[in-house]
Amino acid sequence: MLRYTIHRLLLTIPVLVGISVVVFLIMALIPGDPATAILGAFATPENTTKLRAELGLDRPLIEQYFTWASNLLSGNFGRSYALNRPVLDELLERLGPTLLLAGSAMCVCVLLGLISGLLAAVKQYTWVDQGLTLFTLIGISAPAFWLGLMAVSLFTVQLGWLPASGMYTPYGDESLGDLLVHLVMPAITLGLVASSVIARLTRTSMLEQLRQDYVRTARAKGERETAAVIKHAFRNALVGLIPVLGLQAGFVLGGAVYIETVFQWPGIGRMLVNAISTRDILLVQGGVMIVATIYVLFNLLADLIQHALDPRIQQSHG
Amino acid sequence: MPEHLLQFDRVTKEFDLRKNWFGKTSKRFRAVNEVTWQVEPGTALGIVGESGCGKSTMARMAVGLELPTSGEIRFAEKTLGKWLKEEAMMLRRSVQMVFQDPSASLNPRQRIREILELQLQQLTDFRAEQRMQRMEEVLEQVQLPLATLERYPHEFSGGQAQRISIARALISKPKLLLLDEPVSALDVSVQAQILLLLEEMRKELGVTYVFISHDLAVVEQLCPRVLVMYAGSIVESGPTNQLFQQRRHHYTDLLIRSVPMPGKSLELKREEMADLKNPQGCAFRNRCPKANHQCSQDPILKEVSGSIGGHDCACHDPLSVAA
Amino acid sequence: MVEKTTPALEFWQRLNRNRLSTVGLLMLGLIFALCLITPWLPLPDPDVTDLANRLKTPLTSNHWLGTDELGRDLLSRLLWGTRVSLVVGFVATLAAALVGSLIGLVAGYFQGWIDSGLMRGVDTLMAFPYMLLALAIVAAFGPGLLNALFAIAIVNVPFFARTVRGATISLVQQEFVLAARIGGASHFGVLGRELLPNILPVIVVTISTTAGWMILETAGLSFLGLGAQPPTADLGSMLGEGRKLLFTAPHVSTLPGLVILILVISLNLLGDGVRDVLDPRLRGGALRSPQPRTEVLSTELSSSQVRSTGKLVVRNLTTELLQQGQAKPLLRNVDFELRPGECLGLVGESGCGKSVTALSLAALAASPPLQITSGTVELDGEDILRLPLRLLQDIRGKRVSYIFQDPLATLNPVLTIGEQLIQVIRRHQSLTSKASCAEALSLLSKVRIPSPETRMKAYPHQLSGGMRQRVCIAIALANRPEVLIADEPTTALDVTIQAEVLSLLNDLRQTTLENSQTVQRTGLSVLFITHDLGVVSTICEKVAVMYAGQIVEFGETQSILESPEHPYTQALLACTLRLGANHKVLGGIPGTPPPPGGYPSGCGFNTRCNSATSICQEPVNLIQLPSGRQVRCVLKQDANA
Ligand SMILES: Nc1ncnc2c1ncn2[C@@H]1O[C@H](COP(=O)(O)OP(=O)(O)OP(=O)(O)O)[C@@H](O)[C@H]1O
Ligand code: SF4
Ligand code: SF4
Ligand SMILES: [Mg+2]
Repeated sequence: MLRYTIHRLLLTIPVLVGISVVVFLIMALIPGDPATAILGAFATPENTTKLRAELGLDRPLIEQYFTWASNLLSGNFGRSYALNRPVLDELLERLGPTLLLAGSAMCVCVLLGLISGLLAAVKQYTWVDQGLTLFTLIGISAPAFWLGLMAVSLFTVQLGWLPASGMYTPYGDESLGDLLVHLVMPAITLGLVASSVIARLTRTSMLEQLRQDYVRTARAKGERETAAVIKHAFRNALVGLIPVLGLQAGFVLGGAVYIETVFQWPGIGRMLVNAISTRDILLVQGGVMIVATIYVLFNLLADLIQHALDPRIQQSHG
Repeated sequence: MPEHLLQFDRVTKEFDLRKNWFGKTSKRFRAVNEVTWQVEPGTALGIVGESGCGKSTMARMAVGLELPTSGEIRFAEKTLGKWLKEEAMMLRRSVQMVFQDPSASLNPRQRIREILELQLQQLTDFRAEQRMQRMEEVLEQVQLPLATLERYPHEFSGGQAQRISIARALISKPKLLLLDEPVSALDVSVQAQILLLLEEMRKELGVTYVFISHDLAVVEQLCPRVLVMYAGSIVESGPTNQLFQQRRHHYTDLLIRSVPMPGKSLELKREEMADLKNPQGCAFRNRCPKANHQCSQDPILKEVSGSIGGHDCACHDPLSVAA
Repeated sequence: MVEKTTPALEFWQRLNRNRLSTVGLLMLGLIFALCLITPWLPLPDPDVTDLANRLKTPLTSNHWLGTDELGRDLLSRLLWGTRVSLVVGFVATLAAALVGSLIGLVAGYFQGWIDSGLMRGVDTLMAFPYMLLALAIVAAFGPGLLNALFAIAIVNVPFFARTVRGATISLVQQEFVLAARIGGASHFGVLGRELLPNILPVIVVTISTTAGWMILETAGLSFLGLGAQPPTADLGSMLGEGRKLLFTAPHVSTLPGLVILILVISLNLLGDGVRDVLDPRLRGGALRSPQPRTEVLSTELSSSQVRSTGKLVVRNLTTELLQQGQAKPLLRNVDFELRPGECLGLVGESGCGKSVTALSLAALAASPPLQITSGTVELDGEDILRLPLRLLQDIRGKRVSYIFQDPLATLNPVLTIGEQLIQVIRRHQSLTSKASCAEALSLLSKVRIPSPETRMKAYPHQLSGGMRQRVCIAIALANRPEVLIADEPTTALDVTIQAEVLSLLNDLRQTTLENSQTVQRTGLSVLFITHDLGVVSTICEKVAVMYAGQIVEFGETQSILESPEHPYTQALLACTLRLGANHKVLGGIPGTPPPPGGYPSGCGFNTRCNSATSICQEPVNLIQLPSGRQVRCVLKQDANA
């Protein structure tokens, strides 16, 4: 296991390099002069020259990349002219809220998705199954941002139960309770939408597992039905679902962009949208780089869990 | 006519099991280990051995689906891979293959007509009416009605599908046909039909067969000569009758004694299960009752003393001829 | 048989059988039709502002669905917006499908460095959270509908590439592709004629499952203000504009969201239907999964007949396959007895119902689609088919246990050998975990597995085929069963390993006999299923020959193999090859075994039998000959009469 973990950790390096190349290319792809584009309204000749020198825009692309990448490694993500502060500071400030939102959404997604998928499969073609199927169908078909708006209009406008936006009540005491109250709606909306995919896949995968020979063997051994379903079928289904859960983290991180926008959540997603509108490219690059890295780490985790659960891949990796 | 139609000369095939980080191979599996054999025109050679012993890999190398890692394969005395472009079509036409799984060997989305006609278009320069004529001819040979042409593969039973596969292989009038377990997926009642058909075709058309099977009795039906393989190497070869009756290699012996037959009850000896690994020297060592210290050296395939018709065996301490 | 169905026709018929996907198709058709005729509908211009009529609620005159902030008619904007969303969504889907499939096809077919090169790139794109990559691309090119389309398409390329590559790789090794290559087909020919037509369904399925996504994503970008720019009406941007008015005029944002929802739901419904029809792996998802026990129809009371000496007595067992509302018999009045300590062979060709018989005995046959319509299975005089599930479960694995054909599939791949053995021991015996562990170890050595301690911790895939089957035997014998049902336990094994396993089974059977005092009563009874007459003569005392769901001959193994009475048994023996017999087999039995549901009426063998006459069209009974042999054939009936 330790060997595999190290092996797998090493494997993330080329992935991160690949990501950084793509992120770098964003700047290279900008039509026209990147420096002017990045500076936008702040494009005084003086600023432009300074930035050009900083980015090394007059040098070959490869060299530019290495300058940029080594800057990244030393924590220098550049400076946001629009915000007038270092990109890294802005990112660090917004990382926490995004992780909190995505993390709680992920919990909702995993729990809800697995349980309802399992239930639907076991109760195949009963009203339970049909109800869940309809529910998840809406989940995968509705735009997350719209569901968010609808939730606000129900729970804030109509019922007045939950606050519509932000992380804390303005000028409040910033207590944990206040945070939770603000977190509930965005986290559940995001988690619910993400769980629909998981629920549907869990159902299909469970149905597939239930017709495998080893489930018949379990029954032939006289196992009680619950044991046959949980210990045998679900255990195997889970092995295939773990990587999907990893991928779903990507969906949640991406979906966070909408949800943060809808609920005015002070995270990286909302920052990115603003940055794109103001063409604050350095901020976009930093944000994308950070979120993609989180995603890569998440997938790494999923991989390690799957590796621990599935003896078959253990062998092929040695 | 060349003396040997197909020749394997010290052919080895290795597969990469695992690649390391830089795409370099870090673990290999030797599926075929320096085998040398040949088949004369107009005969049938059987190859037997247990699953995974390298039989199919040899067939696939013979038709060019795989390239040998080392060694040479010659067809009509000419090394494969050294054929000129113009001759390549001749080679394709001359060497054909029939596979094990009848339902998987026909493209589910093509009618039988398309399947057969494509083969003719690619391998011959026949005109349309010549192609039609040839298709009719070959269908008759495999005893299928003409209406077969307009059907899709899923409409046929296993036996019929296998007849179609045979028709496809024979349509370009090949000189050599490799049959990779062609009857293993069939019921006995149908298997016997196909075996009879194959036997007739060989007599009628003079095609040479290389017939691969794990079933000794099937090979015995069709092939006057047989090779026994174990773990990628040939352990024994010779005329079928002689080899079965006067086997010298301990694996051949075990193999033959293990075949259950109606009316004959197996002498079920209590055999200890061995851990199967791929050790140095004789691969059969850990299952062999006669294994001794010499057996850690690779045994060489050599002619059995006093044999008639070329009976070879690779063993340090072969069985003595049964009385 | 004239088959008029072409693959395309069959596709539509199957698709329409799924009512939900028909609904999806109809809804989608309606939306398409509306979008097509929008320019000709008597609607106000979607972009004309009319500040006097701002934020009208739905159902006001002239504005069915009300107006937005600038007084633009919402209905008109919705229809025009749907047009835009549809076009963008579909163009993006098609572009992604085209590029992605091409990459996948090429990578999967050529493999090697082309594959690694292409897939490295694809993997890098996949390493980004989906939406984020789209954002990054838009960030580079600037907001705009076309750029959004471009971004969405690129983001989905890896998805297609991966799926198609996977499908291609599994096809490339298929025998028909190899045959085409041997037949001289060029790369282009193989790709175009052999691979593409077979991969098309995969591509269609992927398109149908992603189209909805793509529409959601384009809407999302527009919602964020990065897609369609004002004043263009697009569902996403309408929602974005409406967001600010959520508290005052909720309908402005509710309506476009609803339209997206309906659009995507209908796409997904259709997509689910398409997937169920085209994807054989998921086709199972549409089937009902097997229940814990086979459904047993009639409520026959246990034997009114004379008490039999049999350990396991099967009477009149009839199992049917329910398919498309039709009941096709698979077993027809199967009757036999298994005496204590006896090994009975059940032989017959593929599809004659051997496995269904085996599984029906402990109500394990997959149900649905199978059901037992009549008959009883008595274990020591008690009908076990109709026991309550919990009692039946107490018998399974304890008094009646099973060994199946494919030991890799029958063992749970993610549990160790030890766990699986201990599970069955503790299920039926109240042992401490330590005691059951010791018991498991002794079982493993009993089935002659070398170094059992280390094997306990091994997973099934780490063992060889023969070793796995030994584990299955250990599991079956763990609770000292009275009846062992072995369904082709050696068919998947090499012949030398088969001999080892047969000898093991034989020994285990003998030891049970020796250990018990009253030999006849308590010995292990075995029902041994095989298609190999040679295997039968190795370990079975009696044999039952099956054909088309019926037992056609039953008797002592020796005597049946020496002098078969039924024409089928005779023919089967005649075409069975014998090593070293020095005789050539002449031709086999003409024709093929009948498929389930296609069993001929009367004698099941009458379509292939050389001695068939008109009376063979009538049902034939299994009758007992003076020799004790049971035969189902009119010829023997006459002889007996
Ligand atoms: N769950 C099922 N759904 C549909 N058809 C089934 C099912 N189970 C069995 N059948 C059909 O019932 C028939 C008898 O099957 P069975 O598996 O008993 O044959 P068999 O004699 O065991 O054959 P084999 O030698 O191939 O194992 C077959 O034609 C099979 O297609
Ligand atoms: S070489 Fe040695 S181990 Fe191999 S078969 Fe001969 S005697 Fe046995
Ligand atoms: S009943 Fe008729 S068809 Fe059937 S086996 Fe006897 S003779 Fe043949
Ligand atoms: Mg079977």
